[in-house]
Amino acid sequence: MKEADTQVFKKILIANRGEIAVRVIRACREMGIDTVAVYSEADRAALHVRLADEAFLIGPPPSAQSYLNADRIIETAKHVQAEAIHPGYGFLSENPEFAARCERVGVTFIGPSSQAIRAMGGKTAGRSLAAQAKVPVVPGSTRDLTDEEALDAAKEVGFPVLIKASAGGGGKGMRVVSKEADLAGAIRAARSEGSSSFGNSAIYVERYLGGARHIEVQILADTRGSVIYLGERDCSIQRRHQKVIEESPSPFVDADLRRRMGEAAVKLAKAAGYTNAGTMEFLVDSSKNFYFLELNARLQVEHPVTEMITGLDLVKEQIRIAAGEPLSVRQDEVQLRGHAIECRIYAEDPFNNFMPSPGKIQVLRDPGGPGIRVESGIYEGCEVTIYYDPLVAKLIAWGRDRAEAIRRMRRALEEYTILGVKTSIPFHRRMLDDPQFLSGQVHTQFVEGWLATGMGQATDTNAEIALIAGALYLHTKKSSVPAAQGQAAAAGSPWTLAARREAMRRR
Amino acid sequence: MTYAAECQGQAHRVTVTRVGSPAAVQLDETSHEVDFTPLGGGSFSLIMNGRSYEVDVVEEGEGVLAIWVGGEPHRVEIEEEGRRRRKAPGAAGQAQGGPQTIAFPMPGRVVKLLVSPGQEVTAGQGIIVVEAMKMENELKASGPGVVKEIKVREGAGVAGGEVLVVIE
Repeated sequence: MKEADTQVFKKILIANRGEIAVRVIRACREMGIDTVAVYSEADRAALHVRLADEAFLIGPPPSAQSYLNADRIIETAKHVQAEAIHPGYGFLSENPEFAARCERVGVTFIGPSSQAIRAMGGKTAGRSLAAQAKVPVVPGSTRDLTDEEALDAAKEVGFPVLIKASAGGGGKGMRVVSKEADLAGAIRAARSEGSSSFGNSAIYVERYLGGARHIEVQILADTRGSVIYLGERDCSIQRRHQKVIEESPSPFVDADLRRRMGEAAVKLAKAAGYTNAGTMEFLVDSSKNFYFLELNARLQVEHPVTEMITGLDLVKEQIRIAAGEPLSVRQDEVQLRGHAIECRIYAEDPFNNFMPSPGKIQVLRDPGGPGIRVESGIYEGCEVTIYYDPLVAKLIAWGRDRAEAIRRMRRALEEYTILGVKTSIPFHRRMLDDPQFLSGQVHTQFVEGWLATGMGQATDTNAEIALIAGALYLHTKKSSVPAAQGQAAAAGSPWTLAARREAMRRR
Repeated sequence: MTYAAECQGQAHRVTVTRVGSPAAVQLDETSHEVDFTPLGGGSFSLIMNGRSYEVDVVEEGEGVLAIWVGGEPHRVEIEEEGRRRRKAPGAAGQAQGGPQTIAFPMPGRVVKLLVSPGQEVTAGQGIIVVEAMKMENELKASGPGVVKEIKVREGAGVAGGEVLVVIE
C-alpha cells in the first residue's frame, strides 16, 4: 500500500455531520488532504466543525434546509475549490440527482456514479438486476405492482407475505401479511407510508422469510474494472429494523458460504457497473440459502468491523477509487483476521421504550485499551440536539476470536461513561451477557422477542454502594453550601459545588 | 445526619456519622468506612472495604438521584429523614387508575394513533406513535383506563411537552 506518494485530492468537502464526518476528516488528514466541514445553525459547536480545516454554515437546523440542501453544498464546494465531496451515509449519500449534479459541475462525488445509483437504487430495480445476473432474490415480484397485481402476486408467492414500498427503508412501508383477508389493508398502508416517508407509493411483494439472518457483503470496486469482496457482516441484531450490533465474521457463515455470497456480490456489482464502496444485503435462511435484498450504495455505519478484520481503511479506499486510483489490494491478498463487533450507541433510553434523549453531555469517559476503537461525534459539554439521528457514537471491539471480542466489548462498555443523556449502553451490556447472543443463534426478530422479557433492571450487586454514595453526595453538597445560598447552589453546576467543597477542605 | 432512601422498591436508612476521609456511614444495621473522593462533574471515586468503584451522580429531580455504579444506573429516592417525601412525576400514583396524560418531551410529528376515544386500554398498551430524531417512538399507557381525549391528529406536528392523549 503506498500512501505518501498518492496526492489524490488537495481538498475534500464532507457533506455530513456527527461521527461519520469525523471519521472522514480523520482519513483525509492521514492522506494530507485539506478538509471542509459544512454545518447547520444547530451544529456550530459540533465536533466535525472543530476538527475540520475549514467550516461553512449552510442553513438552519432542519436537515431539509441544511445537510440536504444540495444547492448550498455544491456552491460551497465550488467556492472553497474542493475537488471532491464525501457524502458519508444518510443525507445525500444515495441521491442520484446529487451525484449527477456533482458530475455536471466537475466536483468528484466520492461514491458510485449517478447512473449506478439509479440502476440499483429502487428496491425493485435492484431485485430485477439481481435476477438477471442470476443472483438469488427473495421469491416475489421484481417490478412495481398495481393493487390487482399485488393481490395476485401475494397469493402466488404464498403466505406469510411481505408488502414493501419500493422506495422504503429502515422498516418503513413494510407489512407482513399472514392471511388473504388482510392483504388489501396492508397494501393501502404500505403505499401510504411509502408516499408519506419517501414520496413514492410504489409497492411490490415478496415472500416473508421468518427467522432469517441479515448478512451483508462489503465490496470495493475501482474504475478500472476490479471488484473485490471483504467478507461479510452479520447484522441480525436489529430493533425495529434498525441495526444495533454488527459483527464480522458472522458466526453462522462458513468459508464456502462466504465465497459464494462474495462472488454473487461481485457479479452483481459488475452487472450494475458499480464503483466505489458498496454493500450487498442478503437474507440467509437456516439452510444457508441466501437471497439478495438490496444494495447500499455508500459507506455503511458498520464499516469499522470490516476494517478491523481486514486491516483496510475503507474511507481511504473510497477516496483513492474516486480519484481514479486502483484498489490497494487484490482479492487473493484479502485476509480476514480475528473477530470484530460494533455496538451502536444511541442517545435513547433503553429503560423507557428507547425514547430519544437529547441534552447536554455532562460527563464523557471513553473506553480504551487493546482492541478497542471509538468512533464518536460527541465531547464533554456538547449538545445532542433533537434535529438529527440519535446515533452519537460507535464502540468497536476486536479480538483474536469471537469470545475475546465479546469480552473486550463487555469490558469497554463498563468503562464507557456518558452522562447527561440516556444511552443504549445498558442495552448492549445485557445483550452481551445473553446466552442466545453468545451462542450466535440469532435472527432478525430476536431482539424484539428478547426485549419483551430481557430489558429489566439488572440484578443488582451495587445497590448498597449507590445508597451510600447518594447519602454522601447529598451530605457533602449540603455541608459545603452556606445556608443563604442553598437555593442558588442547588441549581448550580456540579463544578461550582466541587470548587466549594474543595475550598471547605482547605480551610 | 440520617437520610431516608428508597432503591428498587426497598426502603433504607443511611446515616452519615462522620465526614472526612474516610467518612463513616451506617446503612441500615451495618457500619462502613468510605473514602468518597470527587473527580469533578458529578463523578466520584469510592473505596469501601478496599474495593474501588466509579460512581456518577445525576440529579434527576427533587429528591431523586440517578447513581451509576460500574456502568449500571440506580434510581435512588433520597431525602433527609423527617422531611415529607415527594413522589417524583411518573412514579406510582398514576398506575392506580387515576387520570394519566400521555405527553412527548420534545418536538416531533404524530405518526399514528393506536387508540380511539372511549377505548379501554391496559397498562403498557401502545397509545400513540410520535416521530422525533428520525426515530418512531411508541408511547404507552402507564396503567389501565379508558381513553378520554385525543388532542392531536395523525400527521400533526407537536411542539414538545404538550399533552397528546388523556386516559382516565
